[in-house]
Amino acid sequence: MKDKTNIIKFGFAAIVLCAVGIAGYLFHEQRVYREPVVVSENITEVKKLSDYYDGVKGTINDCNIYIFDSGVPGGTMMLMGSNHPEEPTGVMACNMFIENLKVTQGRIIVVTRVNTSGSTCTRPGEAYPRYFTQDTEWGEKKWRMGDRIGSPLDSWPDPEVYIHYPSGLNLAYMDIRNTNRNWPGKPDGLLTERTCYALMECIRQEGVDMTLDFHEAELEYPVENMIVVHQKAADVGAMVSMMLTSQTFDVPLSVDFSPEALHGLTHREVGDYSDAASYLAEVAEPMLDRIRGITDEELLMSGKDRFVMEAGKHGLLYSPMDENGWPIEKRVARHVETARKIMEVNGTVHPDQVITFEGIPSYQEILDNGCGPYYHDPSTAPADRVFYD
Amino acid sequence: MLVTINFVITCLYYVIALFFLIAIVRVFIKTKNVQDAMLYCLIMIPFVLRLLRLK
Repeated sequence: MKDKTNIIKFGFAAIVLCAVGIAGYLFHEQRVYREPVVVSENITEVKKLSDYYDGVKGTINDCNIYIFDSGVPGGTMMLMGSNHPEEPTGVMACNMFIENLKVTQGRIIVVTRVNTSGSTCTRPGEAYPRYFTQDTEWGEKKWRMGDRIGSPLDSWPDPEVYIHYPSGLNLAYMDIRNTNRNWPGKPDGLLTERTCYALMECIRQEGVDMTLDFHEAELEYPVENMIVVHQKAADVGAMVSMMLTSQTFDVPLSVDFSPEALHGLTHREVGDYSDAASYLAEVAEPMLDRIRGITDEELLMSGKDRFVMEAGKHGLLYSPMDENGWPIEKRVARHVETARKIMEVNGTVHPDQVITFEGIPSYQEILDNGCGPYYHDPSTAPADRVFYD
Repeated sequence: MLVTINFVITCLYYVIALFFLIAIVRVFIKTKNVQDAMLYCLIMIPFVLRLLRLK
């Protein structure tokens, strides 16, 4: 009887150990996976974030800074992706710029993974896929799907209440790991605060004129299909909104001004603590909606969900939603076109900040061809042009 | 200062997690009730994943 009990006990323990092993392997695999990116042959330099502030050296958030300098005087634009790693069009749009860009006047700086830590795990309890992939002519390009905030493996414990520095604004405890609640950062703070401080140093030291932070939002959220702009950028932002809405996009791109009392976000703090004008772009991502159905890579990439669509029929959403959904190419195309239009309009308003570039597909080209043709095969590219995020 | 406090709390957390894991393993070995043993096995999972810094 005792032997039988022991056999069942240790047999079950062995099964549980196998489950732990499988789960542990899957968690570890996502944690250590690095995304290859084939940089354009026109790139000038790839720096590390710690080159601007060594407080992030040796941490997981010491990301790559891709710099494209034409050598011709003009403006400087910084593009930021993955501030919230669960909003994947930012990293896809940034990769599209990095792999194809040729700047002919001014400079463009691209930061693909603002919050690398947050991209190494997914949100607990949400059943997110660990990766998402894009079909290309040479195979699948693969990225990590992340959480909204940094991993607790890199910054823990959280405070009871997160008090934003330097404003003193009280925010939710987990926002201490949210890179879009920690700007302008704190040099001796926790990892996310130091990361934002290092990025602010990058903006200040590089003399950046404009920043654009790519985001996505659930359709139940009012800040949707919109650019949020600092007051310094009000004129350019309004013009960009009108031009894209009337000439290019089927769904309007509205504009809103950054609230002066809401702190920690790029559109507020970058403008306040540097010479740069700050923009934040939002596009609809049905996978973030609370009422969504099965949460998988198919939903993430197609943007089609019958429950979200049903809510749209009843007028419960802030964005149109039909059987066509919000496919990834449309979401990426909106971000890429918004960046292009901001640089174009800003150059007319500020003639000393002109930026011109080639190699980036238009909104219509991305809709027609998908995103795949604009990513390159790292296995056949020269080794000195392959970097990892 | 905050960074140091966080580091100390994190270290203590892992010590506490190890303590509880050892305690659970001990009662798992001692128990003669199969249902309890299965329960202890399941309880061990998050402790093991935390101590290995996998989750």
